[in-house]
Amino acid sequence: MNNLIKIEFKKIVKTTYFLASFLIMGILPMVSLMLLLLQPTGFVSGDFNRLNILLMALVMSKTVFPIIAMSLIQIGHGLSGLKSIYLTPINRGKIIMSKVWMAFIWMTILIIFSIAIVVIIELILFRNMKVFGLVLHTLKIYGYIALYSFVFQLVGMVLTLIIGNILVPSLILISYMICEYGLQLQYMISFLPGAIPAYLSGVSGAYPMINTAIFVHVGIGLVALVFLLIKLIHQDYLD
Amino acid sequence: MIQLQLEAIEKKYQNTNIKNFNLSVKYGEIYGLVCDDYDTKKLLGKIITGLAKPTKGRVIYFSRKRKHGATHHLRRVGIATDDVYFYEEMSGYENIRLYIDAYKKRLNKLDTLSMNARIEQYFKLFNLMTSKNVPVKKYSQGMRQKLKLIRAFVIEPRILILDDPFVALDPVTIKQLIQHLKFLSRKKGVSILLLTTMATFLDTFVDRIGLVRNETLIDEMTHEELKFHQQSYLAVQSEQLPYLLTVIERKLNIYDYEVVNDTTVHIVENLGRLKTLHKILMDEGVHVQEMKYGFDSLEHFYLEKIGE
Repeated sequence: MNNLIKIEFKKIVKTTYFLASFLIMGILPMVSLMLLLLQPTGFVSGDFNRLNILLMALVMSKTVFPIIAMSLIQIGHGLSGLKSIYLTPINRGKIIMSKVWMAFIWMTILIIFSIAIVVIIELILFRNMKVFGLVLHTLKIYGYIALYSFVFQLVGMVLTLIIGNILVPSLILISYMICEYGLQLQYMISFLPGAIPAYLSGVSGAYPMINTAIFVHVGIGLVALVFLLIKLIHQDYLD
Repeated sequence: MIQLQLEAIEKKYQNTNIKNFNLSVKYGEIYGLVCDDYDTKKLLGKIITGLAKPTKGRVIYFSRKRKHGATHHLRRVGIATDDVYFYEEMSGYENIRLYIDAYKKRLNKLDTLSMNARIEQYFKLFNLMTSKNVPVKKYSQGMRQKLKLIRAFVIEPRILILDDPFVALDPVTIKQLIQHLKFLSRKKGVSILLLTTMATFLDTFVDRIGLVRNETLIDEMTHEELKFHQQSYLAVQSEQLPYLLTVIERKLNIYDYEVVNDTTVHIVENLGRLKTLHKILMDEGVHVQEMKYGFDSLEHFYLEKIGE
């Protein structure tokens, strides 16, 4: 498996998606900072990090993170690249799982990169030495966000497999993100999936049925993973 | 010993319907499968390489049954079909290295130095050394074809499955490729299956040939049988073709001939008697520009066989 992940990594570092994903993740803390600075009431220590978490859960989980996962299905002639590696002795299940793992690892690297930028900005602009403690305190939350976003990565991979490109699934996920945000504003409790990012980021407390929402969310992820494995292993590659 | 076997394969896809297709490739044998259309060849290639599951029947490698989706047997199978793709941003050399990583378990006996030497040996054989570090996106069609072949050869396979290997190659490379295929089958015992829609070159080196018409294997013959069936003829070229035909019909009683073009006729019948032809033609005042023996190409034989 390690060898396969290395192969996947060698492939992605040559793509524009790789560089672009880091650039966008670098912009995220800047956006958080800008939103904070626009606040007339000012902010307290830790708000910058919390806003970064919230934006990551709200926006990145449905945009950058799924797109990098989708690119793993599409890199190198899309399914043709997959067909090509199926002509080698590597177990098909392992090939798919290496892509799934790579999506998660890539996302984790991006999250760590974003955290590093938050720390650097806090140190340079605000000379806030407490930032290390704050970040360490919220590492668990970042972990939850990674798991939360992982579901969208799996859903994105399935959509790419069915639709055959990255653009349409990306638009679907972005539309979902906008609807989710709108519904959450309108019907705070009625649309629980939209409450998960705010709950994870600590901005809002637990709603009565938040656990059900998380359970359903994880369930969708598992179904997507099983579908991905069955489809990619057993389908005929006739085109 | 049979190395690769297709047993009663059935599969329908779009307009292609393969029914009860049987084929076997023996140890150290070069088998040329000539298909009459691209779709049949493509579908057969996908079934053999495991990218498509046959509705009925099975593909047996090394006399061992396997499940669809199993990949263990591919450790010893080199494949160069249309389904082989390269990562465009990587160089040809990097692509091959990446591919070899998939064979690490089997090839780990070789150290990096010997592996590099082996890769370079094939890059030299196909005259790709100067382009080995160039990204594949800048490769021409011929260079990509060579890279596909390198990918198939470099793992030292026991079975080779090559789909139209001569496409886009220059004559020098074709000659080298044929020599290398002969070397692999004769000296290393590699079984080679060539899937093609172009019969060119095949009759010069294959051990057995299979002819496919309407998704069915209509005939199978050894190299010797093929040579026997390929008709010998005497090609006579003359500006006075109508008069030449009159002479060979009336003076020699030969009626089995084929007019190839405005000036050339292929005489097939009783070639032994034709030793006197030149003298008779001279006596009759027929001006002959060229006379030479030849035999029908595989394409010609194939077209006759399928009634085209």
